Amino acid sequence: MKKTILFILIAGLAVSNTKAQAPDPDTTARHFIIMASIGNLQEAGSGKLAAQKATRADVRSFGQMMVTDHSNTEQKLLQLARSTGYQLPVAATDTPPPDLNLSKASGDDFDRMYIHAMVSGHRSTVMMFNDYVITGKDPVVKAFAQQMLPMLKAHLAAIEALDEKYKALTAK
Amino acid sequence: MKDENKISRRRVVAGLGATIAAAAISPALAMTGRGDKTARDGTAISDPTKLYPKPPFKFQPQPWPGLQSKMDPVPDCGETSYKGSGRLIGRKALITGGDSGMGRAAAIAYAREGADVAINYYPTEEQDAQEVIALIRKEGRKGIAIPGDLRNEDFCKQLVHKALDRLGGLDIIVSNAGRQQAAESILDVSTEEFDAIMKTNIYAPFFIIREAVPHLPPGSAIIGTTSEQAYNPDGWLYAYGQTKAATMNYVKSLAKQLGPKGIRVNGVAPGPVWTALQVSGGTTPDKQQTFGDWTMFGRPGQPAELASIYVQLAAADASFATGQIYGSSGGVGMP
Repeated sequence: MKKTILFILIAGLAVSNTKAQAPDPDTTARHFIIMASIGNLQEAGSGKLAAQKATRADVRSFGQMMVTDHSNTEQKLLQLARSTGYQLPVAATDTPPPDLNLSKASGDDFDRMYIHAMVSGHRSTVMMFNDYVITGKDPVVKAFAQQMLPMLKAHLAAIEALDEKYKALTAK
Repeated sequence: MKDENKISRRRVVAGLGATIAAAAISPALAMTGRGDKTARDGTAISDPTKLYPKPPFKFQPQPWPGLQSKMDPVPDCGETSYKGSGRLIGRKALITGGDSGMGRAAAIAYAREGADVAINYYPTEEQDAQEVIALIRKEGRKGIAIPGDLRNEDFCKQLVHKALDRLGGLDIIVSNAGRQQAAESILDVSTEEFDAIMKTNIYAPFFIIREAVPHLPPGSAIIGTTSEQAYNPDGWLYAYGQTKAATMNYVKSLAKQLGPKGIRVNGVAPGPVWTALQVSGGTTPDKQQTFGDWTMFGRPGQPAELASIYVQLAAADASFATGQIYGSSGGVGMP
């Protein structure tokens, strides 16, 4: 009797287990969307700090641009995920708490650290989007990456210009 | 097949409420409990790609040095899974950074292998440390808590003498405590931060080992925690990376020096492991959220997965291993 019940339970679950092991969807596209979402939320979060705390007016306005652009991009990205059916974990879509190092910093230190973080951050973001445009498999996600690239490249150019303009600060 | 069966059984348990069916198969449930446990303590075959949580993780910054009990997910240091087999009976170990991460995993494993253990930690880590002390004492072993700041030479000396006194000697030193702070640029590394990293990661092992060596009997083991960063550092770990290269280096130098005295010196080089270092400024925010996704298992390691290496390097049957660096990094990096 006991054995029979256990057998039925195991048999039933073994079947549902097999179903759960359907071939993985394109994990590269999902990974790209997760990384892009985390990037957007981080950029918007740090941008908010910069809009409040940066000493230099143009660093503040770059921060504000990050808030606006990356919040918009995040909305488009979430819509893309919904329409393509990629399930995103909460950890990738929750608004993160502010970066501790930037929260602690003030004055010239804040501006310098923010510019450094944005230069390296946008370099890797542009690289990541470029990579997906070249190697990605999902055409819809690929089109999205292609569509976002000009804006990201403009961000990179803008922050590199600030890095150059304030090189006495950033290369102190 | 065996593995599938195990998963199915686990789901059976998860799916059961307080039903009559549950009562009817209770002997089977008891058996399932054991089966489940063996999956992680290494006695049953298990798939490393499915053992532990995968990124993305929540971005969860904590002020340095961070508490692992507040991490999500909480790192697995073998609290419920490590099973000893008497490999270190009667040994006396001092472990720095023994409150969390690999040090904690080593402390738990050592106690379960029969050793008495003193752990050092930073005073703000008391909460994590007390859990470890309780786990050590539960094994019937001595568990000694010695909080303090390793950047201070006098404290390092006191630490060794307190451990010697309270354990009645020392024959294993695990120099594991480390400070790691990420910075995008060398310009963002303050002199104070650089100093704190050097003091914790390079000076403290020097102070502690120099103080302890005259008291170590032949057969003793010194183990340093180094890192994959010793060999191919990330750009944002400029300060930390070089201290791990120094650790790898002192292991090899001291091994030559102390070998003739019968003291073995080895290092453990973890890859990305989910510890409090990673949420207290040790990595950049985006890397923290995707931590470990670049390994071949698509996840970070858990401290529990390295515990057996610390045991092996301390155990008497590793008698020919000295000046070695044992790595565990999910298929990325060196050694």
